[in-house]
Amino acid sequence: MDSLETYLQHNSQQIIGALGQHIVLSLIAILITIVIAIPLAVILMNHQKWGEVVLQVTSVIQTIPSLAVLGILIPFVGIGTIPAIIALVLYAIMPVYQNTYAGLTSIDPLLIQAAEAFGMKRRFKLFKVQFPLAMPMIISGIRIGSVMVIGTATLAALIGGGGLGTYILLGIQTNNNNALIVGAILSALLALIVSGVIRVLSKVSFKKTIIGLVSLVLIGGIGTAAVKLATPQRQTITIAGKMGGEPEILINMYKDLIQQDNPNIKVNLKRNFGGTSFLFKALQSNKIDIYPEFTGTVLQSLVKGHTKVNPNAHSAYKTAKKALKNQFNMRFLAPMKYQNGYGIAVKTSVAKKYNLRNFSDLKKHRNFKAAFDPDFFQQADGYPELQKVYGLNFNSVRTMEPSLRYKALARGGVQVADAYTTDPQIPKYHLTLLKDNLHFFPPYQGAPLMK
Amino acid sequence: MITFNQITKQYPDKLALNQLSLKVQSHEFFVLVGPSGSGKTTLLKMINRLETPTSGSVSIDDKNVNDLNLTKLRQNIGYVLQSGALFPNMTVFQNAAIQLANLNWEPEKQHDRVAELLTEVGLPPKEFMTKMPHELSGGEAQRVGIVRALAASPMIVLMDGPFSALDPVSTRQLQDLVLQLHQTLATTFVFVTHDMQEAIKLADHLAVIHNGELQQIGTPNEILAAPTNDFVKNFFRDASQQKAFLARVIESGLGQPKNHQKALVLQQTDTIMDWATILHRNPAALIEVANVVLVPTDFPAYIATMKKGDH
Repeated sequence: MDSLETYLQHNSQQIIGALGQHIVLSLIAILITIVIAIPLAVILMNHQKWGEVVLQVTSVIQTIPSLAVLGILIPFVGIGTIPAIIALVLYAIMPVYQNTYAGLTSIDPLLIQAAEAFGMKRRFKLFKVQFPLAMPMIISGIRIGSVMVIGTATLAALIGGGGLGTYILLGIQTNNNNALIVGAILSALLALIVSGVIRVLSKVSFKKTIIGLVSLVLIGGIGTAAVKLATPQRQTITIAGKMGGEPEILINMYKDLIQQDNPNIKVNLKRNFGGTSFLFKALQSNKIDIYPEFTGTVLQSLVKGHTKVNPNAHSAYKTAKKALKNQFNMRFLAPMKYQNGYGIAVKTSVAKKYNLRNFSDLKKHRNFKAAFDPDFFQQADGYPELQKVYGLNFNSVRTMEPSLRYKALARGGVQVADAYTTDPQIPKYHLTLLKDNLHFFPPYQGAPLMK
Repeated sequence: MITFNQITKQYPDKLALNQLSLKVQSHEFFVLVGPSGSGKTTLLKMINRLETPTSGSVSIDDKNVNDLNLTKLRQNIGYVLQSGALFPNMTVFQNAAIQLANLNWEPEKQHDRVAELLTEVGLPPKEFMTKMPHELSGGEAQRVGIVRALAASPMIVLMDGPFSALDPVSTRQLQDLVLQLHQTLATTFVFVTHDMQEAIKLADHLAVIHNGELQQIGTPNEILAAPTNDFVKNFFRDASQQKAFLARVIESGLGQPKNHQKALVLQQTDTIMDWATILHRNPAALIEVANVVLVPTDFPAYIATMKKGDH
């Protein structure tokens, strides 16, 4: 594995890009939060009942895991930056609203009475007395909210929102500690720095803070617009790939091929963009133009009416192509020669010891501990079906992240695990793939998918 | 003139004021005095509509306060709260000028006006203008509170127990200060206190309020000399000045019924100091109070009874 230093050198451009994305995402989310939460608190500060109700509601939203919020939002707003921002705003509203409300309502009533007794107009009272007195609480609410947003924004990567979470996710999926460290440390540092900056800003007067914020937003907006205008308009093709090393290699090959053919086309690569359903939805909503998909996945998850998959790779491809054309009006280009399907892996030494060759050979070994990918374990056509077809029945079965189960196999913590047939970890950890002698798994042939 | 007409204030759990009527003359120093919970602060706050009566009306110069523009009404009334209640986020100047800023005065005018008033209350403007409230002593803070109330030259200044949290020395100084300010300004002062000493010292007229009802209204001497009921009498019992009234001398049993002697007639509300002044000019003078004649020797006899404490 590369050292962290060389990793940083090789990926500095993309890392800075992800950091920028993370900052923009968080900044937009926190600004929207402020614009919603503070006026809301001002409106409700004199209506105690409603104020408390909103407090409860925001607290309830807070208790929903952010991952679930993202999941709930996908059917409504799709994937990408917008649902990520909505989820972040929902999350950050609680601390900002709560602190603003508490700050405004906990002002010494004598001072409020004094302000009223001097015939202050509402706005004068709000800006000269109430806001300044509540400001320390409001600022600390914004600080808590910002730190939360920066931390939670790492989840945006799950739905193609980009940011530093891409590296954390990549690190977990590909077992790349460097990526993990870069993502985690940068987002933690960013949170600390932002918290510090807000602390400093809170010492500056209210007016200056507002002016500073507004100019920051203006500069950011003008900057982005300038960059957009400066880059000449060219035809752009966006190619995305699923998590992991293999899709990344594939999309880079697509890029090279396209640019070889026509150097004027700009090709945007979105690596580690998300899981199957995100990518497919992104393709449907024109967020991306091409991504590599597998015949088995198409037939089992994307198109309808093909539960029984032909074990012959060529006819499976033909069925998939036809179904995609008919059901989604998409084109599934000619497939690649190799297959990346599901398999079952055991340690080579174990395979030798028990003379294991086929899936059927596992039937005798009920005492083996097994680990499966969570999706595979739960899908009706996954492990439960496999169990039926081969009559398997392991005493101990648990679910594990794809990247972790190889390590578990190598260390002997489990004896059997599902595997992707092209994963580099198979030779690396001296594992053996068993033969699917009853053709349980459909063929998984990769091919570019586009509208 | 401020007129309270048949004021009743009913809270869910308590009748705070009951059919209370009284008048405050323009330019006078009027004190509302009574124990805590008597309803005097509620009454005060009805003048600038921080409180509204359940029934009855409050008028200023025969105009019902409810008919006046609330903001304008309050901008014409100064308000001094307990403990100063300065805004902790503002300097002394910003605090004192708050009503002026609200009225859109020009900054230099605000500055001049505040400096003038700060000087008047004994706070050198150069030193105090830029201080923050937390840097002030209680007495200084309340002086700033008074400046804030007077800044816009209001017709009426309301003071809600302003000196109750101060030490005795500061209290005395500030009492002297407000008396002096009242003399120089053509402003009506309405002052709430639970301290009868303070009420007697400050008031032109005072109203004694107890359980939401008016017990007695009059000058301090009238009330000390002739309390209308036991509550008023007990409330003022400890006031040392009370013993100086000629009414008390007669009560102590001294003197003879009037019997055609030639005597100088004095009121029950006059004091033994007035008597001493007369005796000082004419050691043989007789005085007559409420048809009782007091001879010169009665004077040392009464002073001697004061030593025992009670009479």
